[in-house]
Parts: sequence; structure tokens; C-alpha cells
Amino acid sequence: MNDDRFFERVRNDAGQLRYEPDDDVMWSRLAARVRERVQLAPRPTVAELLAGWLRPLAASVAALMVFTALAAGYVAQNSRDSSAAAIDSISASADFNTTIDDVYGFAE
Amino acid sequence: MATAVHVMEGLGGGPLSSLGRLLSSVGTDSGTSPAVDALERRAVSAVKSGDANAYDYLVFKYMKRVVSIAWGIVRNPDDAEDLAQEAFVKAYQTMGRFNADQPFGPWIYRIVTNLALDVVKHRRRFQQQALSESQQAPRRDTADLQASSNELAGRIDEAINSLPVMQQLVARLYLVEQFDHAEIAGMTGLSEGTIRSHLSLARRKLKDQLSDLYGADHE
Repeated sequence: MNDDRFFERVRNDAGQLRYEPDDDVMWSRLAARVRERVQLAPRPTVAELLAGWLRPLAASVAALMVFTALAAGYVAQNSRDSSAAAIDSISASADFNTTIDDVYGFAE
Repeated sequence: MATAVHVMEGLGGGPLSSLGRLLSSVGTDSGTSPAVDALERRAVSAVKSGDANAYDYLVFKYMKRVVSIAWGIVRNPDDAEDLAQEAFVKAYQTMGRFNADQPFGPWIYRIVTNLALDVVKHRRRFQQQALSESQQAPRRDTADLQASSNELAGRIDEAINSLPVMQQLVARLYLVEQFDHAEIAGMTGLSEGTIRSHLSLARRKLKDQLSDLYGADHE
């Protein structure tokens, strides 16, 4: 007998190993317990259903706001750095006296 | 059974004479005919709409199989009954996620398999921490087998029990519960390839242990 045939025979014989007690009282008791627990299970209220919908939506909005705030902060920081760098470069490239003359020269 | 009849009437299941034939198969998971599938689908839809009474149909249909699966894993009848209850309650509570066009069986079988495996894992951890081998409670699972004291069944059971955990689980679902590869994959979350691999290894070991029983035909 090859392996497949062996396994098929074992499968045929193993079916009787199922646990299926011939006990109607037991099956009825189990079904009754399930029914009892299922009947007692609280049904969700409208508020709970809405919360179920809105919770993930609120989480997404919050995440988006955090991201936006961080991004805005990053952009603002970059802008300040650029302006400061520009001012520094203008001051560094200009002669100070020349600058004074430029400012006060016309007034003389 | 009377409750199931009431449930069927509530679902508009038709004359009691035809219902009687259907209900005679309830609890044995024989739902392969279109009529039964339609009834199951209606029961599921009713439950999803909030009709808890309709759940009785599903409980009656699948309870025996669910208990058998649980027992095969935990090997204790009280635990198996508790697990079966838990599985049905959990399935009811999460019915909103279940697609009514799909058969209920694979879903409840998956739930009970996962619950039973959790119990086994928890037991192993507890045994490793707290108990020595000499203190382990004697096995009583073979005493619970349904009136099947013949040598063949006992030897097969013993041989399956000797397998490593996952091979044992897959072998039991395949050989005893007689699910196919795809169904076992759905219940365990393993791929079909892995299932086949486990079965192949299990088959080799079982052949070594049971060769005397299937003796002269072994060529």
C-alpha cells in the first residue's frame, strides 16, 4: 500500500474518534447556555455605534493636525533661517561706512 | 429542538414536514444542500439584524462539530464544552464583521480552534513553570471517547497524540474531523502548503506506528 492509500484508510477509521457523546441533555444544556449569554449580551446604543464610526475618524484628523503643525513649524523655521542668512550676507558684503553714508548721505 | 422549529417558522422556513427533514440534520453540520445554505444565510442575516433567537439555528447546526474540534485539541470534555460556548458567544458578538454570503461553519471552527490553541499554550506554559512530570494529572481523555474501545481507534488516537503539536492538530483535523486542506488552512491561519507539509510528516510517523495494524497491505 502506498502512503496515500494508507492515509486514506487511517482517515476512514479515525472518524470514530470524534467526540460526540450521545447525550441530549448535554447538547441542550450547551445550547441553552449560549442562548442565555447571547440574550444577555448588551446591544450597542446609538451613541456607541456613532463612537465606533467617529473614533477612527477623530484619530485620523488628530494625526493630520499634528502633522500639519509640525510641517508648519518646520517651514517657518526654515523661512527664518533663510531670512537671517540673507540679512547676514547683505551686511557682510557691504562696507559699514558706505552703509552709513548711504543712510545719512542724502541728509548732509 | 422545539426552539429550532420556532426559529425556522420565524424565518418563514415553510411547512413543518420539510423543516422536520432539515432539522433532523441540524447539529451534524451536513449543510451542503442549497436549501440548508439558504436557511443558514437567512439565519445569519436575521442575527445581523438583531434577532438573537435566530442564532439558535446556527448553534444547533454546528455545536456538535465545534465541541468535537475543541475536544480534539484540549482533550478535556469540560474545557471543550466551555470553549464551544465561548466560541459561539464570540461569533455572535462579532457577527457584524461576518459576511452573510459565506458559510458560517469555517468561521466558527476557526474561532474555536484559536480559543482551544490558546488554552493549550497557556497550559504548557503553566506546566513548565509549576509542575514536574511526576505531578502531571493522569490523562483521562481516552476515557471520554464515545463507546469506541476497539483497539484500532485507540491505537490511531495514541499515534496521533504522539505527534508534535502542530502535526497533531493538523492530523486530527484532517483524519478525525475530516476537513480538507483548504478548510484546515482557513481554521488555523496556516498556508495550504504548510498544512500539506505537516500532514506529510505526520503520515510518515503514523505509518511507522501503525504499520502492524495495516500490516500486509503495506507495500
